[in-house]
Amino acid sequence: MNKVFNFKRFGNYLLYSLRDAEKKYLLTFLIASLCPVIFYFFYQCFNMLIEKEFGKEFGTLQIVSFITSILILLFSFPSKLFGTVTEKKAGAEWLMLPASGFEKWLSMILMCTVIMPLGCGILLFGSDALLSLIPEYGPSPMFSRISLWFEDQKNLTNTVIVYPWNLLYAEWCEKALLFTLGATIFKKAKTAKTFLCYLAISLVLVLLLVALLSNNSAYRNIGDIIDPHPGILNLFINIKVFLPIAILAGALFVRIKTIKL
Amino acid sequence: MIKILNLGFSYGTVPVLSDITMNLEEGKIYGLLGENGVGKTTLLTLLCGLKKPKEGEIVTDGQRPFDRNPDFLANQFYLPDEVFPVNEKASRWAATLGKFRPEYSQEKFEEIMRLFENDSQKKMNKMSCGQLKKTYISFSLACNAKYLFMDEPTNGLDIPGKAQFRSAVMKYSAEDSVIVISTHQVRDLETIIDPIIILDRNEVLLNASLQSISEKFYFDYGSALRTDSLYSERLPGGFIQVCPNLNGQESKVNIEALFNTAHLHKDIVKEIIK
Repeated sequence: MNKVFNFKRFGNYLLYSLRDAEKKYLLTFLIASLCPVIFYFFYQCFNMLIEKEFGKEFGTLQIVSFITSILILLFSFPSKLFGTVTEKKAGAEWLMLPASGFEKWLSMILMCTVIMPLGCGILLFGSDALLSLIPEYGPSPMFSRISLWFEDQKNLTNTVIVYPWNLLYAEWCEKALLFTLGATIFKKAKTAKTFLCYLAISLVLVLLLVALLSNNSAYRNIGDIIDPHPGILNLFINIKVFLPIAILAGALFVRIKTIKL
Repeated sequence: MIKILNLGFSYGTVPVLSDITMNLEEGKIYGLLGENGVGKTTLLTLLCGLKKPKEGEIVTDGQRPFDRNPDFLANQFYLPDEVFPVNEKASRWAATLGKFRPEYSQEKFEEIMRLFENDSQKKMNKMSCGQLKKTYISFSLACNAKYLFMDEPTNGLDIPGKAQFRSAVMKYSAEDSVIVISTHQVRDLETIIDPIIILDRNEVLLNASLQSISEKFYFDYGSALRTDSLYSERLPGGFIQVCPNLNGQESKVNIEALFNTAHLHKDIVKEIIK
């Protein structure tokens, strides 16, 4: 039996994880992912009660519903799905499950970066697209709105950010891995503690960056960096987005391999 | 075979186990006894790889448990003191987890569940504490694992359940398996455990087979108090007394009395066993 990776064993483990996720999180996932529908339903209910007619100004609430949905999912799914690994009873069963640390890690990574965003993306954008078929809906589907916004940003700044959707996806991956790592480290108040750590680390990094930029007269503002070297911004953004993902994924692997109960 | 060599473990600065050396051999059901907090559960979790030794090492068939290699994990089962209810039918839960274990037998699981008079079609989160424990015990035995570590398995079991547990362990455990049962309920298990390991603060006070214990200690069930007894306890109609077996007399080992003797006279017991 291969100690690190075996396709059959990994398949079994992934199926086990999916079934476990379904038991623990399906209802929350559906409710959170259908936030646009729920928001729209209440919006129209209130409109009918107060204005006595269908509302056509759902644009702002549409954005709010998307942000709410993504925040609920990011804050809740890691602790709900993976938080039990720090518990004495459930954690022991998980650790003693005959699959390698790499397989358990890979399954977590797939859940965080493929299955969850894919499922939530399909439900969020899909339900929003279906809602936009209603004549009274008002705003364009969110997918078009975001695409348009990216185009505007590109024209406005004339920068070299070419794949904004990839960056948005990478942002999701970073935060999902961050909260997953927090869920496997902290025993209680997993989300809150992870969030506080994230704030503290971000604050330190921002202060360091400010100190670095203010000490170097050649780089006093972002324009100074972009103008002479247009590729730098893209490189910086890539590093900013992908380096944390790599670090978080590595830290998660180490955590899984060394977790003790 | 499990080789434990100079094993040490502490929680922060509080030592729990220190310099423990012993071998756990195939085909034996070890009874792990000790007062509260001496490190029985810690030792079990070290043996199964949930914890990492701070000093020394544990080697199970050439592997270190904490590496948690899948083939090692597939060949062992750890039954914790407290088990958790799952929102799933017992039989489906067992079948799902059994897929990870090449030696697992669903028929055996169902058979042991029947022996326990437990319904495998019942959802585990609807079961009582005892029924849940029986489900986990059934699964642990159905795994046909070579190494089985059970922490207080009879806690929460009803009176027939304890007898059924003994029958199940004797009937369904493999001949070459190593079973370590940590317990305070020695009377529940004294017919099946042999050898006995008594843990004391940081050390192994006694690790001996019942035969060797009966060669070195005499368990007197008479009605007269003896002057040479290390431990005596009044029972209905007489006493149970533990004395050094200087004349090579045969007697039935009373594990609870032995434990109390070891608890009262640690040095004497260690010296006699040596």
